[in-house]
Amino acid sequence: MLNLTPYILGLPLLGFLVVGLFGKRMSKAVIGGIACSAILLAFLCAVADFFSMLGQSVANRSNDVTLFHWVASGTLTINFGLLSDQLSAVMLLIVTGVGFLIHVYSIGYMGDDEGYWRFFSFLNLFVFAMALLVAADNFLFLLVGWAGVGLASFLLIGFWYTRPSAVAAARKAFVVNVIGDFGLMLAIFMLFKFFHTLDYSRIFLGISQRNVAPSPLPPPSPITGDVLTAIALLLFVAAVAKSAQLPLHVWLPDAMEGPTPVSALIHAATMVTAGVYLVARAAPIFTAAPNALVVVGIIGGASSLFAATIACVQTDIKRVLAYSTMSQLGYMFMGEAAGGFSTGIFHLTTHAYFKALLFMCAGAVIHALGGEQDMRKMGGLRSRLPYTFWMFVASGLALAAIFPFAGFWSKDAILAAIFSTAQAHTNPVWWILYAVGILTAALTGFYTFRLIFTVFLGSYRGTEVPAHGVAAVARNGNGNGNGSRNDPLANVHEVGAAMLIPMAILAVLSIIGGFDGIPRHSAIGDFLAPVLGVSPDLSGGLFWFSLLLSLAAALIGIGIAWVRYGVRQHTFAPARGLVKFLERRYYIDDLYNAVIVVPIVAVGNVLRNFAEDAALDGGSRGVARTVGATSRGLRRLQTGYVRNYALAIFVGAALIVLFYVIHP
Amino acid sequence: MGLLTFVVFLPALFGMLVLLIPNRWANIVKPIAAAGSFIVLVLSAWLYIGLLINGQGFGDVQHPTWFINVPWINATIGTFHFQINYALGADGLSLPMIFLNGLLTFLAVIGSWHVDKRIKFYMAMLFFLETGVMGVFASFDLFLFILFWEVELIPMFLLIGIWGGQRREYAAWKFLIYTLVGSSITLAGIFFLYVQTGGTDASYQHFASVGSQITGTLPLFGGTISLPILLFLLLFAGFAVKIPVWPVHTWLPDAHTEAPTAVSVLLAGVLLKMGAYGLIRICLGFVPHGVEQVAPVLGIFAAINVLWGAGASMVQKDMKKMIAYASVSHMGYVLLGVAAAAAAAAGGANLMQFREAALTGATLQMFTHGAITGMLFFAVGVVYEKAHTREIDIFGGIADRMPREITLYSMACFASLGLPALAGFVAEYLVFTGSFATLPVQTIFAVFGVVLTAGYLLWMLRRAFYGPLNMRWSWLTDVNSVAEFLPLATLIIIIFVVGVYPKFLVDVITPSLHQMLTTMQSLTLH
Repeated sequence: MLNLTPYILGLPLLGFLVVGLFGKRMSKAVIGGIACSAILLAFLCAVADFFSMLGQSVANRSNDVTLFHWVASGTLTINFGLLSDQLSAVMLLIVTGVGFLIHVYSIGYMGDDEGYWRFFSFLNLFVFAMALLVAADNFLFLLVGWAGVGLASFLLIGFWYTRPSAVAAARKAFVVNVIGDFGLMLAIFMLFKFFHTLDYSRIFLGISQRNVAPSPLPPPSPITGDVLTAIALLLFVAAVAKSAQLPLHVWLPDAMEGPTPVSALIHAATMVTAGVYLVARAAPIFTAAPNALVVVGIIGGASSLFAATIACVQTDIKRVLAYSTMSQLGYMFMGEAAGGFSTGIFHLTTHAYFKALLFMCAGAVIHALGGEQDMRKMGGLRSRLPYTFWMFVASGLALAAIFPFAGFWSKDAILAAIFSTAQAHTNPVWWILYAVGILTAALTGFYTFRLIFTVFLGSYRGTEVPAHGVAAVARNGNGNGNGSRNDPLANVHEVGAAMLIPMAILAVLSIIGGFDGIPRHSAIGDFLAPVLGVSPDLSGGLFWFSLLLSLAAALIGIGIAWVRYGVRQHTFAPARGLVKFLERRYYIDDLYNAVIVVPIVAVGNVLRNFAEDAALDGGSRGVARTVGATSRGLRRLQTGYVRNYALAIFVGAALIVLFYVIHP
Repeated sequence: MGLLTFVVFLPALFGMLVLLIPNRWANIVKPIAAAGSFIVLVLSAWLYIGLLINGQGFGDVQHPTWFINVPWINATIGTFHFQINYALGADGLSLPMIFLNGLLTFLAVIGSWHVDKRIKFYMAMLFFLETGVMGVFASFDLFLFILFWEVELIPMFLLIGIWGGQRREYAAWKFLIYTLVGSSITLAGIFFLYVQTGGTDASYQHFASVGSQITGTLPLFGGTISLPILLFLLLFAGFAVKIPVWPVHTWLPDAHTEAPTAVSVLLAGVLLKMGAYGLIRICLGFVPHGVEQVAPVLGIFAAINVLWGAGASMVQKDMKKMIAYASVSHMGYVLLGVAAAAAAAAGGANLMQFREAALTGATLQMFTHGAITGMLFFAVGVVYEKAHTREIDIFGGIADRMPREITLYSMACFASLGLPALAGFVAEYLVFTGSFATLPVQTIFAVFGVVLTAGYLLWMLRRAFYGPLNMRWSWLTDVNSVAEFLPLATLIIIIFVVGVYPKFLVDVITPSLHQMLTTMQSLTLH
């Protein structure tokens, strides 16, 4: 079987190094060319690998290559190896494919930014780290990629580093992600303690055989269900941080401070999908720890509903989409929790298409309006941005899961998995999750079309749009208007081809991208089944019931949005009551600040001011002062300098040593 | 006489040579010093790489390489027979440190190009310091060890006291008093150990083979104390100050902050490692049962080190002090690794690999912390030499004016906070993997230190370097001289290489430690 995985990793890394080291002296065309072709070639490698894999029989589709020994300390051996199997193949296609489109889009979007070379080198780094994450064959290099993704997101969210809010957001994202890394590291330590290895294959073998045969190295203590539950939950902590689920979601909305292509990359192809991937990759562990799966479902469901409610009241175009991502990721986790690991990955793929497109469309709007992100200052843009409008609608329909758009099939697969699990289990939590799923579907329809109607319909509510590039405006905060007095939108124009073409490709995918997962004929489900197992599904009348119920919920949501925002101009009153509560994001950020940040800084201050200075140092200072005074007194008795004595002692000692060395 | 003799004494020779240069030729002092320290670097690298290429292996305490042993002092005072040999040797535990010392001293000389105050004497002190430290790592006789240990004090005291910042005298004295008090207790411990193991032989080989047989208790303050524990506590006193272990760490922030840049680099880079080296070589190697019995407590102290250092870092206003406290925090990982390696020595073959991983990680951390913290201090030094302040909040947005410097500075910060593919991660990961199996609770607390580290380092970057440019600093220029660039570039390359391919260090370190741990285990099982 063809295995080009090393190239899929190597090309973006090479692009990162070349552009990062020499990009400053290159022209923009060269930079864009190198960065994009690195990802394009990686994508072509991924495609070649994928078709080569399809040509193999199911039993031979997994291929593990060891590149080098990383650490060999006694019996602890960790290799840098790459695993090519069905799951990593799908992930690599998404990461490099959608990643490539975002690269092309960035050529247009970042065209007039000074940090062009920095931006493209970071983008390549991001793709490399994510590819490493999904291609690693053991948990340690998964962690390496995991942290690399965190670093790349830090660099890109804080890309406009002269903006304080961007730098703060970057740091917040990194620190929250490090909390996740903390969980992943503890999980890795536990895995190593109990399995004596970090390789996926050997760990999963150990789980399947733990009641059958003892492993060659007996673990210090037996691998019980509790151990597996603990490992699964620690892995899930990492997934929660990376995929922005409750309660570690706070970084995601702030991450909107990065340039819009970065948002597209973070939300669609890389970063947030890592958590979903991790749970899928560790499916054998989670399957063996059913209690952990219930937790995954509850967190996913809560996040999905929580984020959808917030998305309904946000007025920043990108924040709506950010909360929508959190909500959709909640769906993916619910699907995985219900045993439908492949439904989670399926939704991950369709979500990558339409969410990347949504961000690109939002970017096109922001670009056209000279950096404006507030929906309240938009409106009536449909005639000015016709292509963007229709692509926004297409991706919006996919997000709202309307037949036959991509999101419809994948969301339905998840809901069917939950329904089916609810039938099979006595635990009522699955029925609650199913209800949450339907309710969130309605909310999704509502907030998606609230966004579209507010931005594109009605009449324009903003001020005159200046004729400046988005990057310049973003850096300076505002621009100087020089458009026509009569038409505030005189400078608003559709984006260029470099941005439109990737958008068009994603629009096609948003429409047809779900056909590989049509219920009961799910190509992607069958493809992934050897790795992830067969997802629970519904049959007969229940199947149609669930399908139509979610569709109806989404249509109701869209209908309410139409009534409130579509048919007439909506006036945005200052928020109060429940809306205010939602707009302030349930006050969770404020709560964290009060409960975590302030106390830690306070403890640090106590350490510095009291414990270090007064308690620990006070005593020794007294001693030091006494000795110091004595020494000064003694020194006055002598005529020379301490250093001369020191030198003499040193020379003397050296001579003695030499003497004895030469004449033993 | 062996290459090691040259590596140890060549620096002192260069130091005297530099002192002899007439004042009117003062402008050749720096080139001579650079050339001299480069020769020592090449020699120490040769010791390391030569063996690596020859594939002779690095041996262990019983089979050191480059070993020479010459009787030196042989005196009988009453019933006390006093035997000191001039014995030098190296194994996988000491060779990385010898190389690191050669490297950092060379970079310190380069990084001191801007120093003009009594330059001859300054360079000479750097060389004498190098000899002292080399001697500590190369000694294979316990009395020789403590002799070199004391030799190192004087140049460091003077370097801080003469070339330091405003509170230099206070810091220098504090450093001296703390270290002397600690090392005098260690000296007492060495005599005690010497007597307990026969009183005829002070060679490492001797202690390593008989030290673990020490058992029994001693009456103390009306109760009794286990003899190995007492020996451990005595020996550890001096090492604890050097590492430094909470609560005797308070000399460190002052000394680091007041010392000139290059001296801070050496202080953090190699002098702290002397304490860690002593802990592993002497405490763990010669009185393993003592360490074993206190291991869980040692682990608790390690966790306190990590969290206390991190907590104190978070509220520092001075960049250098923040990095100094970060050192306290990160040396806690070394302590944790050693504690984990000593804990549960009776756990049998099942735990062996965890103990080995922890100790390998601790030794690796000694090296990587030296490289990373050295780089951080160089990076702060560049900013300080230009701006004459290190106060974090006074800056703002200077990344705009110093893109190269801040890129390198940020890279060092990421290495320090344990980003994978950089050196710090490998060491931390090995320590934690090992210690989680033997000291899980202490480990969980210590791992949380990683989160705090990310917090305070990024906070510093954000406040000082990113955000809108504070126009007060619009005149700052980027790194552009070789003296500024070479240390940063060299260290970041090493940090990357170790992070991506740590095998060439781990393969050297592990065999030496393996021997130590198997001896310990077999003796415990008897």
